[in-house]
Amino acid sequence: MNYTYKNISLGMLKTVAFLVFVEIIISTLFPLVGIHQFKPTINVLIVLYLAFKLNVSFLPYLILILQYIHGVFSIEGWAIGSLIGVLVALLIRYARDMISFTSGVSTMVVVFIFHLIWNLMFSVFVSIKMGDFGMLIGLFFDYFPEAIFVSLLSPVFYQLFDKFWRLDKNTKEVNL
Amino acid sequence: MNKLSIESSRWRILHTIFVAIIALWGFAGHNFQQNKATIFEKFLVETFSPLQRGTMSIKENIAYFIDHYFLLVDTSKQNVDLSKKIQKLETEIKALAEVKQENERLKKLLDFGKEIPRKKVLAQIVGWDSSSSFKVLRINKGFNDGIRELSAVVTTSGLVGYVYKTYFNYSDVITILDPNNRVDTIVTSTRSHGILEGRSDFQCTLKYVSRTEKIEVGDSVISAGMGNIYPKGLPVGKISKVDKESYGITQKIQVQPFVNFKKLEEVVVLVKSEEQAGPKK
Repeated sequence: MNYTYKNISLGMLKTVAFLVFVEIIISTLFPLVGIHQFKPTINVLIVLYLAFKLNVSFLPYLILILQYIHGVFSIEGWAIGSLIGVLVALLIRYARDMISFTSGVSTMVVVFIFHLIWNLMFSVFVSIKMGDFGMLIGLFFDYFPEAIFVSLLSPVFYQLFDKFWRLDKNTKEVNL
Repeated sequence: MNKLSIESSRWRILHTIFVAIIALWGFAGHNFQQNKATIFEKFLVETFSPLQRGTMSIKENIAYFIDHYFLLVDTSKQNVDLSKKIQKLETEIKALAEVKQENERLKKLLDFGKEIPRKKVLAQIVGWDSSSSFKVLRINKGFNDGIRELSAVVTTSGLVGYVYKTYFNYSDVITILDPNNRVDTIVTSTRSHGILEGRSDFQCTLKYVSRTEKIEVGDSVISAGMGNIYPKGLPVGKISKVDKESYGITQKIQVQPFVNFKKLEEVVVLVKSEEQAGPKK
């Protein structure tokens, strides 16, 4: 499917607005009702969606924008997410022919696998930064429940994102 | 593969490398202990934080609605005039009681640490870090209110953390629950020093305490005052578990913070004066 810059700007605008909304809910309502240990990684889900669906050369910049917005709500910052985001997007690029979203279950499995890769990279980078590899395993498993939760909900979210980006379920990728 | 496709592929690789280098540079410069907000970050935080603040007040509004409207529908049907008056008075009383409670809470907060020679700024929490691995909270006071980076943050119960980053009207506080925050502490019963590290599960670990020290469950832990962030003597927590393994020269100690982070609403920021802060780098 061919896309225009206008389509991409509009889709991106809606996605950013959605990310801001979710980040506000996660950073306020979740702690308010006592949920401190579990914060769904919607930013990861969105970056994975863009990497799966958008076949555009400037995808890294879109990832950078999304991670910058996420960094406003987290000490994690924009850099680590952007770095992991572009690396995972590159990986997805090469594995694209093997990826299929024909059913809800396949979407869940694909998202889960790439989320785990994301978690692993995150744990390694943070451990390197902190100079403490003792926290590697702990960090990896910290995000395990989130990875499961986000994967289970991915078919629903991806349908919503398809609406933002005006794609139908069967669209494999969009080009400019 | 046609020429256009190769061209596009080249651009993709170039863009990826460019963004990866920027991100790597940003990550290398990122400090989990202290950070300066860029002007663009300040702009975004100033834009989104009022929304966080508004969302945080939802709980109070729902409780208010249930108490004052939802549960009083039948009463108002029976005696409209009287119930209106009662409702109004009840609302006033409840509002006053709430104000009184808040005043008492705030007074206690301000009275806390009177002997500490630092400027005290009262602040409310507007949000928590959206990532579960980090225990950082955002407060509604910032640079414009006199808050500076590396100021200690406390409540009447004890130490909360320190200011990690300031914006114009908001600040991010890295709590003692965060693994990136390390506090030099003293166990009051033995006067032994140790480094307290957050574990992100609402517990902390006290490290580097020699296994010869007789630490017991229930002992209090206070700040040692080193590092020029926390004043000496601030209550931090109590020992909840001591594990002396058969090897090693230190012991594994778990500390339960005095502050109930799950119910934290207001905090006091202890801002150092220019002289106390020392020469600017």
